[in-house]
Amino acid sequence: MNRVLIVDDDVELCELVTEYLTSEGFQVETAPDGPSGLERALSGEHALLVLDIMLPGMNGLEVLRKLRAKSRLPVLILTARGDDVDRIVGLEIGADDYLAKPFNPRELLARARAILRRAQSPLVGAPGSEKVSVGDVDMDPAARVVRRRGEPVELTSVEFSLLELLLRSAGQVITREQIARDVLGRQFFPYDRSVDMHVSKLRRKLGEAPGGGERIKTIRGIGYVFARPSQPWMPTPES
Amino acid sequence: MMLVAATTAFILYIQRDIFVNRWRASMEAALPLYAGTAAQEYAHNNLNALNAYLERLETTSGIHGLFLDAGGMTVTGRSPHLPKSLVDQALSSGKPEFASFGLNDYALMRIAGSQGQNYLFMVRRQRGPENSFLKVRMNVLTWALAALLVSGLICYLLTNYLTRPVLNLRGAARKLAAGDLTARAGPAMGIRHDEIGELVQDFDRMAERIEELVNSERQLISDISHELRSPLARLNVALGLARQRARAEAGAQLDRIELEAERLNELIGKLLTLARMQTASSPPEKEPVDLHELLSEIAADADFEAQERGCGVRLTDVSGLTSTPPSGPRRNGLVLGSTEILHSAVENVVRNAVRYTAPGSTVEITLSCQDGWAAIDVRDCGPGVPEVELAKLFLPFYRLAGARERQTGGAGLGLAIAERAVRLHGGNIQARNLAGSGGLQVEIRLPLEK
Repeated sequence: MNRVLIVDDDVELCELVTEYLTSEGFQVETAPDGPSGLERALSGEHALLVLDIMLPGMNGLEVLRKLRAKSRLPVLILTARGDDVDRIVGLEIGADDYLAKPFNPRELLARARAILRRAQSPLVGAPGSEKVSVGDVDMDPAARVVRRRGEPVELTSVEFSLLELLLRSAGQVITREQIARDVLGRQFFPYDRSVDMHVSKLRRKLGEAPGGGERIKTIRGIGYVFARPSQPWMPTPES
Repeated sequence: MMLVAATTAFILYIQRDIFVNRWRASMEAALPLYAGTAAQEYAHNNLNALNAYLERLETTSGIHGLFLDAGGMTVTGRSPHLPKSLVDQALSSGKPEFASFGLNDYALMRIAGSQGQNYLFMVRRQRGPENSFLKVRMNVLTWALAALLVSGLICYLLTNYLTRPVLNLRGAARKLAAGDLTARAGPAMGIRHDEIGELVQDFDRMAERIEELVNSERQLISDISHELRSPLARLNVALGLARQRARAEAGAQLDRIELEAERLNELIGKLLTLARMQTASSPPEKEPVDLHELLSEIAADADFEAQERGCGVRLTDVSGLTSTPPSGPRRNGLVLGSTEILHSAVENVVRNAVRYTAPGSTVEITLSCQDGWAAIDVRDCGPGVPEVELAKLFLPFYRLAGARERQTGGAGLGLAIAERAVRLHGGNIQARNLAGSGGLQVEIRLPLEK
């Protein structure tokens, strides 16, 4: 399915983007404001939502929040360049990726394609891939479940793929380019913060490692690594 | 106050002498008269006449007179206990002699009696006002002290009344100058209806006007930039469409359009950043900034970008700085401020360096620590900047003479942003040409918080 919903109050822009994406093989629907956009998004008829954060009235973040309460529809948010707050908060609330306006339509295309590809099939690991465990974190990709010390952890699809990549390569350093390619399904652009954002969100959701310190370490100048714990973690009887 | 105290003491001191000398002068003249008259009255041992005279003298002139024989005793046999030296002196000189002892001043003179024998006439004066000098002195001193305190208090209150509002005004003016546009002098002062009160009111009105003007200008820049984004966004997509449809030959022209659109875009972004920093007097956040991490990130990203031209970016850290000290001895200084703003600043400087450095060369970034300051050094292997233009490098929109034609030039805002950002954090930024190897060195210094 390649239906895309674009929610943006700039009608002319919507027309142009529709034309562009259509000639690239997408089916595009547009909505000019928050409420109607939210309604259409919840219809379940689309594979991707492109959402302008700067919507007047019910603003984009609100739409996103309300959407995420009920749906896992992949979302690409359009932010204002230089406005980091919106971008960070947007990714926090559960956007899969962001793009700053004005954007190069080629980038929009690349990111949209990546998100759709990922939604259709998991990029990391073979279909029906086996469970993987490192320390106190268990992951079952087939069931799309992640547990930390036995407790389930809520992750977005991007975070899930990211964690899977890190767990399967635990102890090895993964570069940001690799993450962009394997998890986001696109090229890593310079000054692109989305990989860092997702990593930091994942960190926060997983919390500290049992012995203290970060589970996902930053290796400066190179990338990230999921640290193998020094002692094996044993589930205690009451947990 | 000092003057009052000094004068009082002086007066008290010389007061005594003035009185005495005046009395003595008058006695010089009057004593022979009194003495002579007394002697006459006493002629023929007429004690009653003498006493009557002495009484008259007392009542009319207030003079205490005594008629004494040559031995210094009264004719009735009482002794005024005059010192022998004074008696001898009077007897020998025949002129009025003076002495002061105890609480009295004495004047003594020899006078001849009706039968030629020697008599002495004495006038005694109790020290009047200054007699109770000793008693009164305490009193006067107390009064003087009281006067001192009261005048001191009055001086203090008066000074306060006048200078405190002036100091208040100065404080508000300084805050305004430093960038706090909400600074006002009125509230701290209360209501006054005099000239100073009016001055403060005028000042506040001026401050309000300035705040209005600056804010509306800032808002204007911000609004313009936002508004410019919409057509730019549409332009970009239209360009994408054009590329989809265009034949190969049009490729170069479309590239050019895209380039210019991108420049417009960057310019808008930078204008917004600059506007945001314009009116701030201190960074919006005051958290510890991990310079090492900041620089590593920027270096990595810039290196990525630089590789397109075959160049590289390398970071060397000799500072020993860290905001989250791991185990082991590390220096404990931090830079407090906004990570985002400093990121902007350094990024602009580094990207500039990458733009101008010679193909195949490496841009060097060095982080070091120099007594209380963190120093970030960015060196490139480019053509450098003419000496006369070094100082102007950080002005907004300032571009080197030849730069407008070159593809590498930006809009001239990057360094202005860097300068403002660094200044916001209490630091400074400088550009120097590197001797020998050529190229430009930009040094950013930021104060470390202990």
